[in-house]
Amino acid sequence: MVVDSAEINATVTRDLGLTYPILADPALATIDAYGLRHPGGHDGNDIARSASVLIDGEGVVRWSAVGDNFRLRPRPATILAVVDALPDVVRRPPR
Amino acid sequence: MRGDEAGGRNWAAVLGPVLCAAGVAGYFVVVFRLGAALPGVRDWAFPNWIVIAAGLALSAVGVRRARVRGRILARVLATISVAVTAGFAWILYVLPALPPAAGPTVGAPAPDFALSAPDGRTVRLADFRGGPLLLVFYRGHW
Repeated sequence: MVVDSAEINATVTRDLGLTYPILADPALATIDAYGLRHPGGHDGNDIARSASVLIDGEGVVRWSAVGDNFRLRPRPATILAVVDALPDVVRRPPR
Repeated sequence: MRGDEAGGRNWAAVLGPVLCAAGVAGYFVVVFRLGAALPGVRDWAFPNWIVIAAGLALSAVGVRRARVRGRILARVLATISVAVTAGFAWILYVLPALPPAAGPTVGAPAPDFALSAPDGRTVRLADFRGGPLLLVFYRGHW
């Protein structure tokens, strides 16, 4: 999720060969709902701060990484370890 | 090699800033070419700080060993070492620093959203029922 428009995100997706969707939040409504606005974070413009949020099958937030340095982001191995440690993060549909 | 012997060169004074610059330049080369493969280096720059520390130590040795005529040059070179080190520290720790933020509440329902994907379709939180969903927030302005 990012403040840029869907058009810009489409270019980035193509250039980087991304396989997941980048969602556009130019009004920062969702960014604010998640408490992740960075006031004046880029050339005086408000942007999202770098963060990762893990949400389970019921729509509950189970883990988040909101760092204080945008160079440092959780590594894929770290996130997979978190998912493995939360066995009920996937909701099986009732039979 | 002792710089205070007749005819000796003060190699320590010269090597000091060279090592500091090499440590800094090496960091950016590694990060831009191998960043994902070497996350430890990318995050902590630890081998680079060791090289930079060696450069600073050499600069200090160079200043101590400088002969009268070479004293000013040794100090200028040592200042370059310190400036390069300070600039590197600023880029790594000051420039990317973020103010504290609450973030989402763990254990609470995730706030809903309905946002546009690059292909124009609307993506909602409910689309991911069954989970897990990893929502990554980027600074944007790519």
